[in-house]
Amino acid sequence: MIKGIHTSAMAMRQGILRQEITADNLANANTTAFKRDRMFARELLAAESAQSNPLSIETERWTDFAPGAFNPTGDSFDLALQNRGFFVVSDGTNEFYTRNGHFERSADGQMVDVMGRAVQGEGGNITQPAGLMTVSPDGTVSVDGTVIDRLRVVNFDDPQTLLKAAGSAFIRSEETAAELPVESPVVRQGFLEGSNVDAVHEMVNMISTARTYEINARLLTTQDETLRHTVNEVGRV
Amino acid sequence: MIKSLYTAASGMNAQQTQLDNIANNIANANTTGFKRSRVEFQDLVYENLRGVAPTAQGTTVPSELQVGGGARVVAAVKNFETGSPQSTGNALDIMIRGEGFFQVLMPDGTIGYTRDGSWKLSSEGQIVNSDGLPLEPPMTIPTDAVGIMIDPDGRVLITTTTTTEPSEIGRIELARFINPAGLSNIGGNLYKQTVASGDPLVAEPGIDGNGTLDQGYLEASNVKIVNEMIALITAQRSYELNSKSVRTADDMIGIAANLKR
Repeated sequence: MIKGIHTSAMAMRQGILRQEITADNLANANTTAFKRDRMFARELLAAESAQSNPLSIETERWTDFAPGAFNPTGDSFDLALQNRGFFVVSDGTNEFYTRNGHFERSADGQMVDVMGRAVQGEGGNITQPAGLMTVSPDGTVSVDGTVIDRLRVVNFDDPQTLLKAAGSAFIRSEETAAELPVESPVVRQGFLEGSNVDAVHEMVNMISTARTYEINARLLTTQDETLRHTVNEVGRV
Repeated sequence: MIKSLYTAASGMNAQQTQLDNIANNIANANTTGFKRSRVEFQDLVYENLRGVAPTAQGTTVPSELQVGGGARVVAAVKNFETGSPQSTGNALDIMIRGEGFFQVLMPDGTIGYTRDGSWKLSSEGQIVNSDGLPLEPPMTIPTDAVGIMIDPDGRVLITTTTTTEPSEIGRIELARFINPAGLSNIGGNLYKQTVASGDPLVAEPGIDGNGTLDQGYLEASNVKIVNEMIALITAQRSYELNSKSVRTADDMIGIAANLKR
């Protein structure tokens, strides 16, 4: 009986977590190159949950790497990757992988992202003189016609092992295997990749989460009622 | 639970900033030389609820359980795309075709940068902008001038009542920046240099990548109303969706609070 209450409470905690992820997805419905998170719960083996562990559900996050829509911005410093892969930016110690191709030129001419992390070319940081920057589809960066460098575009066999970092970026975890260079990237200048959050999907998730939560709350109160009867009325003549 | 309230609130705040920005763009749809800006969103830090660790069954969970904290606005990015030329026929209306900024001398002695080329003459014959700030380097049109010609390379030529050959009285210079998006808006169609923009590279028009000048034209605002309206709709709906997150989270807290009767 008490265990049943814990199971219902556990399911409610799952609901809260699920709602947190839905809220985060919706908050980022307009964030450039945001990849939505999904959550799925997994029941533990019945035999195991019958033992001592009342926490009978495991939760896993899964990032949906499906591409977002391409939005034209007309800005030469906005780049979008048409095929799979990530741009590489570096803060000096760590490398970050992102599909957010909104870059800027810093005061000393370095190509950086919004957070000031240096965009990585095949020769490391990309330093540009003033002038009109063009990026050809294969990622070659030129200023006023002079080739400066080529953008490093990489991919992973197991992107699910990547960890999310702020700024639509990912960092590698201990599990992540070596990066693979993308030999023939398709970079489109003047476009940005939108968020892949689907409002309809998120709203449906929100409704189902809220209702499941409600049902579990009802189950919990029902069990509480039954317990009350057991405690107060059983044995009374 | 409380976290999803704050997550949704961060999304609503971000959309609010987006609406403010769109309103400013639309308000300046007819401002000469105005450059539209676009708000750049970013997801917030992620909370790692559980590390990659073996589970009770001895298997490894494939990924960490990370929950994000919402969105925020990181930057309003100015777009320096050239606006369309508008013919005015006025001799002192000058448009820059290509990169570069006119320079004006601010009252505090610093230089302001502008794409607004609607110049006027002061009572002393000096070329000034609509707010009376003089063009830098300063240029004065003699009182006996009858015609002013500005060639694409910035040479200011005048003809007077006594001469027939145009004579050069000065040359307009343009400033360029490595990172024009880093300039800060100070109102009055003026920009100020910042650490992010870098130092100005001053040169004559048509030289070192500077644009050329077009007399008798003004540069229209580069705001595209249709795009702004679409952004407005998107922002408003996103705001609404986030408010639904707030409502749902609130309901869920309410249910939890009513568990104990």
